[in-house]
Amino acid sequence: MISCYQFKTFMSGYIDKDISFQKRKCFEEHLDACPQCQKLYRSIVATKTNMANFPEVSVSENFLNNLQNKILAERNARIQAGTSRGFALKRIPSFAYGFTAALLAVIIGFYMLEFQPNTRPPQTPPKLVQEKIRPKPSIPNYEQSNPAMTTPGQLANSESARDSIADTPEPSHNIDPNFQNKIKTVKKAY
Amino acid sequence: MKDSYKISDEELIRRFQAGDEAAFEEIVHRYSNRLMNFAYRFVFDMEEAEDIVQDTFLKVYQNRFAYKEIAKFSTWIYTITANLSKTILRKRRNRKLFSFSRLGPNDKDMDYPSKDRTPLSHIEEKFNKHTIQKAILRLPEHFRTTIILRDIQELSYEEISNIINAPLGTVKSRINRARLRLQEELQELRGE
Repeated sequence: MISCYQFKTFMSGYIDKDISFQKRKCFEEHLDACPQCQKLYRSIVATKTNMANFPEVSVSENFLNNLQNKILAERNARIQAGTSRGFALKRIPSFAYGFTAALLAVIIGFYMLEFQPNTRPPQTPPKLVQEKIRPKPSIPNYEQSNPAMTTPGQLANSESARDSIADTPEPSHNIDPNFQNKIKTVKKAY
Repeated sequence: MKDSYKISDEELIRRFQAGDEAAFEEIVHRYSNRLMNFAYRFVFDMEEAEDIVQDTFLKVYQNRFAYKEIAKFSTWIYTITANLSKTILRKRRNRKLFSFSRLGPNDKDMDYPSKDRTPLSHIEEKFNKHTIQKAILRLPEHFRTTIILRDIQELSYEEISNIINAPLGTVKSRINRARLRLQEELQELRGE
């Protein structure tokens, strides 16, 4: 036996015959025993029958003509909207915008790379080649020599060495214009 | 509502998509009254209902290629009509127009005795169609849609499920609650 709450919850299934035979039996048992649910059930069934027999309403006689006019008016409005604007942005396919943007980005990128100041470090010849081109000046060992203990001859030697150091140009990072030729000569020497 | 046409609705819309305007006319012929009944029960106004049906067909005409044969054509067209009907109701509510749904239980002047009295049960005699229509208009939108589709249009649970885009279980429980709510509204209208 089912309760009134269960009956109310699943009553539509019973009315629409959307429940199993077993459940249907339970519903019928409850209906026989409960006058309140019986009243509600009858009321719903009567309303449902009434609704199914509602008088049919139909469209007016001019319905088709009105519809055709509506469709034509809509079509004309669309055509007019298209022709009134000679150049309609809406008509341009969306991929065209993307393509133009990509093209602009490439052009701007190209110009930026082409005209930017040269900030790259200058090319220096490899170490081995540098050594071959410019022999190392012989620098005397100043740490070991004590000026108080040096003889005048040694002092003269050290002074000449200092001069030679002063004469040697500071190693620069500028590109040697004859760098390529020098490399060639070094390669020949090898 | 069983269709007994030789050419199915889906075939007709396929022909219309291919450019056959006569197929569209056939669709209008098949559905105009069915949709009119649905829209009229929904908004309870002949002019508005006819506007809704015309707008439905206009939408079908304009968006013919939007229909894909994954759903039944009837489901698609009913969905359009239901949505348009809901829009009309919302507009009406915004304008705060007088409607039957605002009538109180004491406003019984529109009731008229039923002419087609049959020796059925006492309850059946008591209710007339106009009162039921008034009670339908008092239902919330989601109950109204389901009860019209089920009890007036006599569509299956599956079709309703597709039209209102809700699971089958939801449809069943919604129909049940709508029927119970309708009884409450009827009792209120009768002043019981």
